[in-house]
Amino acid sequence: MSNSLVTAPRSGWFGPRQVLAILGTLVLILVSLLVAGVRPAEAAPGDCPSGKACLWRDLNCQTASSGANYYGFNQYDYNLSQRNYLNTTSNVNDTATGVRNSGNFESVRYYKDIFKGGSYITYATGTSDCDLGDGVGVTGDWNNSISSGYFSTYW
Amino acid sequence: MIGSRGIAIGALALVVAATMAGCASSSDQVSVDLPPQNISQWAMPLDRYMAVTDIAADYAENLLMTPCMRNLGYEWVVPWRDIGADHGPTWNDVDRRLFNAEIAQDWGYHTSSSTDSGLADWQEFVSQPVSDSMAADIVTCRTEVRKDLPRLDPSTQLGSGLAASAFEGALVDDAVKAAAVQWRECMGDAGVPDLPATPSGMPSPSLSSRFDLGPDSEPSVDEILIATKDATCRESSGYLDATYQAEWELQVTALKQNVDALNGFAVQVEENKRAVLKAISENAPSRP
Repeated sequence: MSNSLVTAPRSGWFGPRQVLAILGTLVLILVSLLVAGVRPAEAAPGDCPSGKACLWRDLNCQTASSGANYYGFNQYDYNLSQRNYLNTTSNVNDTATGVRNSGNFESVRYYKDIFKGGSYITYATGTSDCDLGDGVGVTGDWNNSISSGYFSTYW
Repeated sequence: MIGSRGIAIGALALVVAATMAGCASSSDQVSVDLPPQNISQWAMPLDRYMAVTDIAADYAENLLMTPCMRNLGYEWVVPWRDIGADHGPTWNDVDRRLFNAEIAQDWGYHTSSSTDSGLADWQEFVSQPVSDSMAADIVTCRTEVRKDLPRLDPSTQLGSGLAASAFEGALVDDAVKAAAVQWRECMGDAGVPDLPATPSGMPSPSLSSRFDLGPDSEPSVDEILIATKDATCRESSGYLDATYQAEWELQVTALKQNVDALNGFAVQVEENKRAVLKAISENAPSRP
């Protein structure tokens, strides 16, 4: 048993020193995450199933506050205006703020326009960007502007 | 690893932002090399900064994963691929899709496929069933391989990002918007019930439903007729020229404002490409 526990107040609540230590630790963790440019939810966009490329409408790889409300495709989707995020009536075209490649073998390209039109960005397997608008990672106007996506074999 | 990488990316973003801010007022004086204009190939100033290495990098990674996956008990047979193969006439050198009357007459809204004669075998390889446990093992082996051959950081796609902004900017250019109105008039008798406001919305949802536009299908006569009319109207309305010129000018400005950062990334991309090609040459099976 450590000294800090031995000297804890009889009431069972933490003393001022323990509270300060806990607060200090929390601040350190928060600062570390902010400096690293990683939000806690962003570190695990794990709702995208193995084999799929996924898109979410909102920050932190979520749609309507849930990571399970993604839209995912296996080989390609040439027109995202025909798709809604799972469990929502929200259309995928030009609305995605987060993307993930959970494919097992190859990169995925997300395009500005339907049918592989316009510019594209590429994500290797196992990579994601849960805030396309923050300029970290990919740059450019990608937030709310993806209209089709293809795994490499299919473009 | 995540922390140091995050810090590196954050620092890089700051450098790029500072570069952009610092050069914004003086970018007109920056001298940059521009390629000759070529509208049929949609040649653009930022083309040389596009990191088009994903197919080769994927191939190298899967090859290097072989011993690890076999040690875990899988039959991991990566087939031969021709990674230098092009994708045919509907694509330019940096994989931008091309669309004009000549292409529409042959392809409709379809696109040409890779000329890689190993593509069918590769397609079979990437289509193999993957259980949850195998997927986890793939992640393990991939992580191991990336220690020696890391993937390019997403920030190296700065050229693509700037090109995307130029693409978006061109669509709201006054001359382009005026030409889009002319295009709509030209398309008035094409029989498209949901004709979009601009050509970038083509083929429209009703046409997408009417035609089978999957990669394995062929264009129908009906599709070729509409696509050819569409492409011809883009040219006669001035939309094609206006879009090309607007995008070109925006890319010139972006290039001038970011030339140092772009050159830095180009070095990284080239170094990575050399490592990827070396891995392929040392590990790929012989051509069948």
